[in-house]
Amino acid sequence: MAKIVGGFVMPHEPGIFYKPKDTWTEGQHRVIQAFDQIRQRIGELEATIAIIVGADHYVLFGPGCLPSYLIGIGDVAGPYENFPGIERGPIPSFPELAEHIAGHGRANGFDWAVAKSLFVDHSIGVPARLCALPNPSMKAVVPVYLASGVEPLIAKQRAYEVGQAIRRAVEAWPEDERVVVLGSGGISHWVGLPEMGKVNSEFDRMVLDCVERGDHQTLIGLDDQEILRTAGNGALEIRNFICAMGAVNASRGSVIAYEAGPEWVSGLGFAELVE
Amino acid sequence: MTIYALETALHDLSVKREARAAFAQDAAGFLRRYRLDDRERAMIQDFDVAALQEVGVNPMLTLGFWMMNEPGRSRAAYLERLRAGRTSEN
Repeated sequence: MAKIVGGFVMPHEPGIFYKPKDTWTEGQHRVIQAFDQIRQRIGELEATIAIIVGADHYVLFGPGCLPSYLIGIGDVAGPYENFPGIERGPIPSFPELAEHIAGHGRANGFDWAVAKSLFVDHSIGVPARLCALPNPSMKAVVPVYLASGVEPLIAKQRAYEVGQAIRRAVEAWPEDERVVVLGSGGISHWVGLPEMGKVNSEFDRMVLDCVERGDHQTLIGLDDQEILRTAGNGALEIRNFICAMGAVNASRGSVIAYEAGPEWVSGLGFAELVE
Repeated sequence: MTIYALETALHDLSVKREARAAFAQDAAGFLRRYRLDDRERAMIQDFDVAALQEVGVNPMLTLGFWMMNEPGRSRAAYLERLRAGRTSEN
């Protein structure tokens, strides 16, 4: 039987990955170390599959079709962006397991949208390349996109439930797989808005405190208009954290790093989720 | 009347190379592909990102549109223009 053996939350701010190494600040080194630490933990967990929950930024999905929650059930490649030193080709996928998650959900009240072919963006491609795939135990990545950046947004309660549905589906998979779930998103940030570059560390710390306490209810209870006002449109991506918390059934978490320097446009939080 | 024709044009200009090439060559001609009124066409042609956001266009699209089409492709210039407010008539 497959099982979820761990989970993580982490950022995907493109500004992290465009920087040439000779310009790295101390903070940038700490951020890269945090990605390395997650990669190492995934290896220690001997994970074979990574389910990565990301956010589209109005790039992959356009006004013609905006899925609430979507899973990649076929070929996967990426990331869409061209970051120095980060490979962009095919990503090993697991169509059978992904189709099973979609089908299991559909039979249990979760009408997944699917992508039969998916070229993932940085929100999934970067965690896949940096944290999951370098581990020799890792066989494949299953990409999941939540509507956490573009209206209409998935309700935060629903994001948690989708995580739980992923868990139940994984546990119903008959083969032995060790699955980690990565929730990929920035915390406070204002994407494309006049405030872009500002962060709200108080909000970020509050979110990470909730992650540490395993308190998804407080995160679900946050009002979106208030999030927009105090932490920016990018902070709506906490849906991806909430989904991962649901999948892991997280009762607590452990913060790996938090950075909010002027090098980036987002509060960057890294944590391990513990059942 | 919705803003979705605007969002469709801006999305195409963000992600489709052919759209960007056509826009760079003949912006007015390219924009006739979409159900836009004169005011909306002007917002796009003038890169008036503040006006576009004012009418409700998603900020990710205004940023993507600017970075992929405005000749300078500079985020600092984008923010400067956005913070200066709208420049289109009406």
